[in-house]
Amino acid sequence: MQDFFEIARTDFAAAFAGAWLFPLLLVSILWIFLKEKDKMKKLLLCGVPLLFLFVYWCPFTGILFMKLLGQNVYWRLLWLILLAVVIPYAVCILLKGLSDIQRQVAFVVLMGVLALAGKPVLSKEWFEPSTNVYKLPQNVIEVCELLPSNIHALVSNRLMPYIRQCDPTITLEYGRNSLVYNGITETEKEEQILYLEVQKSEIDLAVLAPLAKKQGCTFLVFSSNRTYIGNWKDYGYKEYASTDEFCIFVDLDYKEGQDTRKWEE
Amino acid sequence: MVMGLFFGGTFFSGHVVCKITKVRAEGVLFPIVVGAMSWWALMEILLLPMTMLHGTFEGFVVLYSVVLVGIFIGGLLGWKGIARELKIVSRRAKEYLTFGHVVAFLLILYQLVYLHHHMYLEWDDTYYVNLANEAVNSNWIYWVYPETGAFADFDKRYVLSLWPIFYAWLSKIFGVLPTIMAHTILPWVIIPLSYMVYGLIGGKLFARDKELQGMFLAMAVLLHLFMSGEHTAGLTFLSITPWVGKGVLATVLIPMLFYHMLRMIKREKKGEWILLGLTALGGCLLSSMGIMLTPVFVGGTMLLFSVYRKKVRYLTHGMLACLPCLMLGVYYLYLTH
Repeated sequence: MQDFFEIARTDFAAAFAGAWLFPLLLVSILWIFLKEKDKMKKLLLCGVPLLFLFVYWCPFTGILFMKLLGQNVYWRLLWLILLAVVIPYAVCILLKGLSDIQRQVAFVVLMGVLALAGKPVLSKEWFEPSTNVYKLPQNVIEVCELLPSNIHALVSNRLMPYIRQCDPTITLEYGRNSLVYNGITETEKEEQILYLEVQKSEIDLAVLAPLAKKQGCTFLVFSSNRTYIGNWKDYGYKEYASTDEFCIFVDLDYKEGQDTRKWEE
Repeated sequence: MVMGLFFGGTFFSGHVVCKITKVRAEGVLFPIVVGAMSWWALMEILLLPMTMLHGTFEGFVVLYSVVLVGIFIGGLLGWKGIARELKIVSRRAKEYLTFGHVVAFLLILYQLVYLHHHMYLEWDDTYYVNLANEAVNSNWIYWVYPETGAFADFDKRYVLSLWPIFYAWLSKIFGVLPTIMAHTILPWVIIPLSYMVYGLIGGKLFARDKELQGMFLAMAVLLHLFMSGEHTAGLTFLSITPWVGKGVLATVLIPMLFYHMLRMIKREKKGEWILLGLTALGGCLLSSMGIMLTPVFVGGTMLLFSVYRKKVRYLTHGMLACLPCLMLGVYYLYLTH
């Protein structure tokens, strides 16, 4: 029970902290309750949000929904409280009784109040200017423009989430599921040894290259600031191309246009 | 072009659905949102068995497109009724030129233009957007692990709600990479669609006061642009990730369910329940959360209706409308637990 309240409280704070929208919601519900004459509208705009607030905080329903939805996403139950309907409706009830000009002035003022009650979504905090039609980081596009299609690649973790969004014909050695290997200190699994080696600032080619070859990684893409122990050509790879941020290496056996994509059953 | 296909196609499809359900396809917005819900419901019906039976993506594209073209032609056949409705709309168009509507329009335009020139990097796109990319690239629906493309995968959590296949379908038709469709084009479809639903809600709440309808819409838009808490709160999805199924659920589908409830207050026709059922089924496509939250919203609201009006049929009819969600919900729990 204590766990439930802890999760519910944390999620609730995460959903409403840093703004006045929740107090505004409660005031709106009260205002609609007092002013709305249509009982069914009152039920929908006061009763329904209050019901879902109750469902969210009540341990019996809450624990059930935590099990059904999952503890990590329990906060999504709060989506059922329609802030963008209840608050505007309450404000409109307030505006209803005003004459034309008074109404428009009050509307502008109340829009200002609503804006001040929250924090802007369209801000630099979340967004950055897009430089390409894919809306992906430009350094990813630059690498993709250099890589051929239909190849298997092992790429820096900085590129891993985006490469296939730019060119889905490329198969990758690692996806996000491999991030769990971070922190492993000792392992005998080749897949993990290879992953851990490429995370190092100084990569030992004697470790990396044989494993990468064995896994069929025709192309390797690492940050430019990495240094290497050994000579690439001695281990069957050579430098293929580079961008400001990344160096691309290719298997010496790779032939232009060859399909080296990987498929494991 | 994508906007033209989506809004034009859903408009005519909505008219067909309204005709079948004997609900008046009033105005322009109502048939569009009904059409959109029907498209998604139809997609869920076709996509689920095709995914399970290892159908090809191209096969799905052909089948889905042919059925939609059929519905579209059905809509065109009813052109007389549509023309009559459009005539009424055009006669009343001036009534919607209110201060509130202008403010709402400017805010929506600002949101769309800002999003067009900016990007938000969504960590989960590496799964969902690549799921669409993989469908177009490999011709498989869902059976390839999208993050690497290098092995077969079947994540039970998402199989019932393959929303990315919707924009993969659009991508295939327009010959655009799904990444571009999701990040750059889809916001121009989903954001207006969401505000159409709010426009309809405003229309029902203030049926006789057009100015208040506009003001209601402007405030609804504003609340999507000013957030509380973390960036993953429901309303902010519309700006941050309008291409993600969960975002569409929070900002289009749940408000649409509310709109159905508003309609239920006034008229309780069989057709209205069918439309509610279509919306509920459409919600299943968007996200597994849609499978869960739709019956909770409808059930909770209908419970209140039933208690207040002392008629149990609100609850039973509501649950019947959510039957596909309930069935898929049980199957989801079976798959994941």
